[in-house]
Amino acid sequence: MIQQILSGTIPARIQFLALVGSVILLGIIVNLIRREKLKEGYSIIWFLVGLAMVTFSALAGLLDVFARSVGISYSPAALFLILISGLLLLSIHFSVMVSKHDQRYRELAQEHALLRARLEAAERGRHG
Amino acid sequence: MRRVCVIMPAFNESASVGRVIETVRDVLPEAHIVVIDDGSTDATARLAERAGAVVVSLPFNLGIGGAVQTGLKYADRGGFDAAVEIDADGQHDPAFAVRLVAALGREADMVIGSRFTAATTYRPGWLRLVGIRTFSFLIKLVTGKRVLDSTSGFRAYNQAALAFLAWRYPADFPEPESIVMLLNAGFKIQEISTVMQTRQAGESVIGRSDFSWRAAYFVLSNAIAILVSGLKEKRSLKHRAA
Repeated sequence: MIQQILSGTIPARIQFLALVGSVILLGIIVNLIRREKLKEGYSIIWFLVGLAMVTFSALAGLLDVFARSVGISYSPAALFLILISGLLLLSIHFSVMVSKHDQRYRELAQEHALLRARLEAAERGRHG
Repeated sequence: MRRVCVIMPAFNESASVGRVIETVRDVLPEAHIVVIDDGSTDATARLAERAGAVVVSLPFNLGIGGAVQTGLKYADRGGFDAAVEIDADGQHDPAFAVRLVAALGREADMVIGSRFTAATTYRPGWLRLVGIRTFSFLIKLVTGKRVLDSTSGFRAYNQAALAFLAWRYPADFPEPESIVMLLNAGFKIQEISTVMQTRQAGESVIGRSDFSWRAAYFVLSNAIAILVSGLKEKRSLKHRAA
């Protein structure tokens, strides 16, 4: 049972590569957080993603257990399902963020232009 | 006497902007003219200033929606009673601006200078015609109101309408969508007939006759914008307009 959860049906070499890859990914994420390159909200999301990747590659059988429980007979398909859904949600989230920033920078540009016009008019009034 | 602000969005229109301003000053001598220089790389700002307009220069190109909204904010904060939007490229005859402003009143918060309400010599290309008909149909579908020339950028606004649009104005293809916003917020729109000139300079989004992917994209984007705009919550718009 424990052996089953540790390695599952995945060949050992692939599991080793997946583990190395996930650990590197987690390392990159932790480093980004450490250097404050990520906003807090994203730090948490990506840290959890990295952790999940390491967990799933270390305990490859977990994926089989999950796949069976939702009725997927080919467990890599469950992995793709999770990854694609996650990426889809994340890209929707980024579209929302980009729209928000777009709105904000447009307002900033407008305020900047209106203020500059008023400033120039005031200066002209004082000097001319 | 109503204080009128003429809003003129301009992106690289140095060939025509000076002349258009002079014509506006002839027909509306009392009006305050503001040119929104939308990140032009030519002499548009300098020439507009020399012709006697106030110039508000955006730090980079925002596109027509962002530029028009800047002008609406300017007019709203300046305490103007009405605003007229006129293209700097010379396609709108400023002589009609007087009629647009005069038509503002109880039955019209916004007046559109339309190419279609009466017999004019204006002959649009087939794609443009299909597009404009489609927009009309979609606007009717989502608002129940009939607007013939929804892509005309020749418009007059009263104080309430300009304050509303200064608060929120669509960015990319703003003309039809702003109509839907105004109607959904309970504003009234009227169209009066104007004659449009062939553009004196610059380039239209839709070419006059031929099919182009850019024009097809314009039609499709606008159609989607109208439909999406029709889905937006009306309650908050009405609340804001009140």
